[in-house]
Amino acid sequence: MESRGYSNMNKKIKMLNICLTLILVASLSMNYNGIEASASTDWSGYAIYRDGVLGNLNDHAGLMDEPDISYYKPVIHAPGIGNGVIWDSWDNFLNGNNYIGIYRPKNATMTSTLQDSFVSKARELKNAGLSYNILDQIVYDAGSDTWVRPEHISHIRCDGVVEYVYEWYGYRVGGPDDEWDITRNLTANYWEHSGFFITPRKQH
Amino acid sequence: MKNSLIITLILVFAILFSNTSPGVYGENFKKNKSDVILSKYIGKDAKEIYKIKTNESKEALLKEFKEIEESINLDRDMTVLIPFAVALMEKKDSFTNDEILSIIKDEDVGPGLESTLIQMYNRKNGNKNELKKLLKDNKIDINTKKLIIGTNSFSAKELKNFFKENDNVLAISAIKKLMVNDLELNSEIVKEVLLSSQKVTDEKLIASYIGIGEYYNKKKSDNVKNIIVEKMKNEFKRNKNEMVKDNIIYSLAKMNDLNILKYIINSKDIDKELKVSAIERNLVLLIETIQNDISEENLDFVLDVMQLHPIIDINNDLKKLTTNYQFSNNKKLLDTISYIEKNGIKGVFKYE
Repeated sequence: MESRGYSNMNKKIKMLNICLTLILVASLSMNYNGIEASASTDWSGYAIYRDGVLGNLNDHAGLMDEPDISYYKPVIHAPGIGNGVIWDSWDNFLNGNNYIGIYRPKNATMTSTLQDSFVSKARELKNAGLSYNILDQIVYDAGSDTWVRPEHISHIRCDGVVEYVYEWYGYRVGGPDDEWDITRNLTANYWEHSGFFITPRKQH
Repeated sequence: MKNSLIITLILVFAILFSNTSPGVYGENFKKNKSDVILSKYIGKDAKEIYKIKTNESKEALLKEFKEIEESINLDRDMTVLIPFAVALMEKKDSFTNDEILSIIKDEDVGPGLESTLIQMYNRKNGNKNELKKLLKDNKIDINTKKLIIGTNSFSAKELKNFFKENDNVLAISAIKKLMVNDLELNSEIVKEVLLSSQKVTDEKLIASYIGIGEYYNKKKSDNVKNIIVEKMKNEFKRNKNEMVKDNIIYSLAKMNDLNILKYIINSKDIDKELKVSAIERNLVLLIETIQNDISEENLDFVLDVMQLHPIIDINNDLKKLTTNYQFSNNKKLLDTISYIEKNGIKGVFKYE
């Protein structure tokens, strides 16, 4: 009797182990999918978001500078006060939070030429010596010029990187019909990209 | 059975670790303090938090802003402060200007609150001379100082002094303001730097490249332009700082000069992203070259440029060339027109 009970227990543990193995495989593949599924496409120039700026109160935005996350510093983003716009690693972009997804402007066909444009413009922001700003997506002085160029900007918020790059090329991200273009040097357009009229979470 | 139980335990731990990276564990540990402070807002979005905060006293809001800023990673989590900053800004009428300055000078104030209060002070038409004094205050964060220069109407002479007195990023902020307010004075002081053999910081170099690019973008060549351009090309070869190098190329690309654009496009040391920036900035110059200054050599160059970064707005003028006897059998021209049709993007005409 005891021997049969021991054998039954052993069988149950083995069954449990098989089940646990299956759960482990499924769990690993779920983690893998979120990144792998999109890694097969060229992410250059796509907007990326992650959640969880503490307590999940807001998201964080960036732009892909490289085709996938395996590249050295594939992200271009404005992470916070200590940095301006920088190239960064995927792990630093996530900062222990959850990846949400990649996005492109609704009306854009992401050809390699357009992706090159987005990436080049984001790099111009990286090189413009910018600081982080909480209140407004961008802070600038473009004098009497019609358009706001990267060299006019002094401060930027993380969602400002995505907003500025896409809207420079005429792809609307946020803002009302008449004041959506953040690159237009008008007070109304400035205010429409201020506070939380637009935030990283509202962008996607 | 013992072995089976060990395997069971290993599997359970493997499942637990497969869902949580070591990085997440580290962050959870680091985030404890801010999580406690912010836990009452879980489930609320930024707008809901903002509404709650607008009903609180300015003292309570300031206290909480400080607490949150102290607890978060300023390098990574700043967007959490957006609703608090907006709510604080709405209370600007309850602050006197002296009160704002006094809080900014408080050593316990972090850079996020500092910059929010500077913007509040600006919106209340504060005295810029008081802000000018903060530029010399070592306790004030450098980003706040940049904001002071970037958002106030200092005179051209004051901006010139900021440039001369600062070898750090404040020199860049000063030139960005000066170049849109007094282009000539801007050119005068940056030419002094660029023509001198005296060594300056990389920040001062970057500021000077931004200023000189703007000048030659809006003004015609003068007798020192070629000297400066050659010095910039040499600096590009010599300097190891990527930001300096990139700004040299942006500056050169702004000069509306076909020979300089040829240097950029034909250089093997300049990468494609920088070339794309230079092409987009010179789209009008390329179109004008086809319309007014076309030769075998110039056409060949324009076609090379379009193979690198095709822009459809140039195709009309290229198609017109196919009716020109001189170019009608040019295979590269016909191939490039077809390439642009298939791969070209719409041009951006925002460069003045």
